[in-house]
Amino acid sequence: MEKRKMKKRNLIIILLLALITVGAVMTTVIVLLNRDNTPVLAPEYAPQDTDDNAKPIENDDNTKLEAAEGGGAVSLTYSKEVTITLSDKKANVVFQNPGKSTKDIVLQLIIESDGKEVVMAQSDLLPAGYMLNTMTLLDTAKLSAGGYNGKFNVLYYDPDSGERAIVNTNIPLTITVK
Amino acid sequence: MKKFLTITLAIAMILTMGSISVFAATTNIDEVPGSDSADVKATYEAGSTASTVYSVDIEWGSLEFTYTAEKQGEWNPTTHTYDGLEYAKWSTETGDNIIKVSNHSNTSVGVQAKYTKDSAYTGISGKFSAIGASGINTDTLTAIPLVSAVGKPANDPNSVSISLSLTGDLDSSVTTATKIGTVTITIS
Repeated sequence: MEKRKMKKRNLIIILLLALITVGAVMTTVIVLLNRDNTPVLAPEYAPQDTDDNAKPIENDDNTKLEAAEGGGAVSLTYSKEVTITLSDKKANVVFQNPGKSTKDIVLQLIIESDGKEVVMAQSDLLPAGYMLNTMTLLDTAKLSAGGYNGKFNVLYYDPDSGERAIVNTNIPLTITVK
Repeated sequence: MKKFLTITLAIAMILTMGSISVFAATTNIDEVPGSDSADVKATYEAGSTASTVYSVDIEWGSLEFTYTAEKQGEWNPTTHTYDGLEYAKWSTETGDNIIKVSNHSNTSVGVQAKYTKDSAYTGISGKFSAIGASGINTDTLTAIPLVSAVGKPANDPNSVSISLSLTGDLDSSVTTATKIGTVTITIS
């Protein structure tokens, strides 16, 4: 009789554990499937990863600009024409953060539509000495073909502490969406 | 020997005459004085126009300010004034409030500055003044033109320095360096 009771109790425990395991697995799957891939916009601290589209600038002069203590000095080379191809969700840009800059960069591509400014793409880290020719559009980017006004929003980060600088830069753009 | 010399001279003379006639045939000048004309020909070969390259340097100081609250001093009953009165003021180390923009582009650019208050410090305003340019605006400095770097030495580009000053009162609870606003430099 005692043995039977014990067997029954063990069965209940096993069933409970099995239920908890199934619940945990289901929760994990749901969380993974619904994970939001949108990056934090204009992060307070520098992203850990260098942007996948970043390439080193060839024949770059790495002599750093003189920067005041606690301040910064950057050099920006860019084009004010941007083309977005909807089929591959890419923006073709020309943007360089030459090696003489003392800051790393996060670059935002912002479009003006219906009187609103919308972030279409945001890079990961673009260290000094690197350039971008392509930006990947955010999953949230919704656009139709045509010509738009927009801007680059350039955010600066300290290479050592990762802190965002008080200064940022806006560069007005002409954006063509195909 | 004489015969040989004569023949050689004769051949030399004939050859010389021949060369003159060849020259004459090229220029078609048969008489002296004479004249002739020749066509001058030219062919256009396409060159190239340099594309516009935007390149700017932006340098800024620490943008760290110190707010010193008013020092009332001591009441002087004789003069009916406070001796040693010092009004509240904002100060920085030399150069800490300066933002400098240099143009290395092959075209002109416009430089604009804007101060945006942090939501917790709306009572403090930023004012810009461009050194070497006229006009002080409250929180946005109107675009300052910087002509292209064409013809300028690389180590001496056209540049503008902008100074930031603050007005308003800072709360006494802010005793460590705290972010109270941001500066946006627009390069148009």
